[in-house]
Amino acid sequence: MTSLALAWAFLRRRWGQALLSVVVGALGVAAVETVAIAERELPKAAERAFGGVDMVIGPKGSALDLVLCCVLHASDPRGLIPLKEGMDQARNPMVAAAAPIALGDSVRGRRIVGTTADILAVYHAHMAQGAIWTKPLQAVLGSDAARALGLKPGDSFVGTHGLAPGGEEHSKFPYTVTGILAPTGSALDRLVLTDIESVYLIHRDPDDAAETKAGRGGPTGFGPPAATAILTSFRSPVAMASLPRIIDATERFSAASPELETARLARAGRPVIMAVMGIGLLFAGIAAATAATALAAAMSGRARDLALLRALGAHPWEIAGIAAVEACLLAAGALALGLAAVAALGPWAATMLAERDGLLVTVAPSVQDMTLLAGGAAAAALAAAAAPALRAARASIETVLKA
Amino acid sequence: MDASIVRSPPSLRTEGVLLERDRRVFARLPDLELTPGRIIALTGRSGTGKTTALLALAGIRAPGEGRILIGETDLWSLSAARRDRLRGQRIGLVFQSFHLIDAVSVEDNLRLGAACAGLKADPARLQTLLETLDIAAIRHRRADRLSQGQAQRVAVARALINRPALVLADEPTSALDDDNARALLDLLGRAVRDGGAALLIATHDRRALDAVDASVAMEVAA
Repeated sequence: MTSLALAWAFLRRRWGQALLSVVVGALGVAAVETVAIAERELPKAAERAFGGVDMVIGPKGSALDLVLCCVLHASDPRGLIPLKEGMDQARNPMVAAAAPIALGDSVRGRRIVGTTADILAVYHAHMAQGAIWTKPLQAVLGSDAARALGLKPGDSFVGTHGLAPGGEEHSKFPYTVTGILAPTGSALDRLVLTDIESVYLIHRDPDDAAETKAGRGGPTGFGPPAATAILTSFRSPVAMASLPRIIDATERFSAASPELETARLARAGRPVIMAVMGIGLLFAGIAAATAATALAAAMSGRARDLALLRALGAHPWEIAGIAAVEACLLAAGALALGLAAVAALGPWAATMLAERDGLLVTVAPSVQDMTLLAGGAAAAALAAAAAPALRAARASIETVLKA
Repeated sequence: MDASIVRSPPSLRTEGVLLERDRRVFARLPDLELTPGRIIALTGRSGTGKTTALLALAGIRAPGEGRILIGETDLWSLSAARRDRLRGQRIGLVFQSFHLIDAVSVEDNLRLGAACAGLKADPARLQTLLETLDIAAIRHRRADRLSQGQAQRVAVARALINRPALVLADEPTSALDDDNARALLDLLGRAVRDGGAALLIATHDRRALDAVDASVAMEVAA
């Protein structure tokens, strides 16, 4: 009979205590692994969500707000900029493409973004079905938006006022879908795009809007005066060094780099991440302490058995080995359960992040994580087993024989 | 010493063994020579050092003086680890309370007897013991679910699994009624003789004394 079989038999005999150690350990493993995944995957997901957007031009204010609102579409707009002057800022040889965006409405939680066809160049996007709009109140859907809304070219829908669900319906101004974009992996996939004229048309005086809709007004006469922001992509990374500073120096505009703001956000969030990591490690530590206490109690209660094994000829180190194997079995159980929990809940978390924040995240433990966690679990197990193992190795055989 | 117990070659030989308690010699073990198949009782009232003598003979507690030879090996000249191994391989122990490992089955208790001694249980030997001692039907039953009689037989089987040269039994009948005491002594006697081992029983139980070949009494040190 091997030490493994004996350790397993001993664990089975006090399964309640063993299960508690495994569950607490699994919580620690899951917490540590979740933080590791978040730290690794969220920046990548954010970068994917940016698409080709290198810089956002918006009103004076928080650059991070600008990125969250106009690139990740995860917060509300803070103000407007004059469209013409904003586009003038983007008119620079270092800018490869620029497109204004005007936010205000949504359809079943998906943002309707008024823009120009240049947005396809900014995001390096192309049509999968149909074609780009040619007049107001026509819409092109991002791939996720089309799937979620169940719309295809030729279908109609009505927007609601505001970005949150439950707003007033603009039932007099139905949109017609003219095309669907191919997936880009960016936030664009979740959006409903339309000509920027449409946004102003719907929010303008009802009579004027009717005029425009009837074709009697026209874009020149009703040129939209403002936009939420201008999205730009650069020809060269060199532009990042100078262009945002030039724009920030103006009185009315500020420029934000999604990449820099995400890095700044990550730095700002570092204490939180470390705190969560600390909690995870605390759980793991409590698990190790629980296992150590449980092992010590078990070894103490099993002093007779262990001394007996020595009486039967087992070497003290073999007795210590049984304690170590027991601890390693508990650690292996905690590791497996913790990683299984992450693997099971990962797809749900990934879906939630994609739905809510448009972040495409792969929530699965990596081989490197698993190796590190296995090493950590083994070290914790051996540390937990050390004292009980030594005590077991020194168990008195005399005590048994005299019992 | 009783001359009738001297046989050759001996499984156990002792020379001038003095036993200590609190660093003071309190008892003397008569010189012994046990040959295979012999069953000897070590007698004496409670507190005369019978259990301490068994501990010394098993290589667990050092005697104050004297030599203990298992076969040709001087037990107390070995390192602790080698002494443990020798005990596991050459000496079978039967405890008063049987002391089985409760968490594992009957069969695994026997296997542990071999594994702890660094040996692999011989399947034929295992089967023979299970059948001889009438425990084959309960071989997969966990040890804490055995009756006292079953546990006794398992303890004897474990003591014999490694074909020991010497079996030491400490007060094996003290907690048993007459029928069970007789049964255990018959069982031990048969198993030891069939296995070619010598048996030393530490006891002050009259029933046990009637079942042995000879007896020697512990001597109080002067």
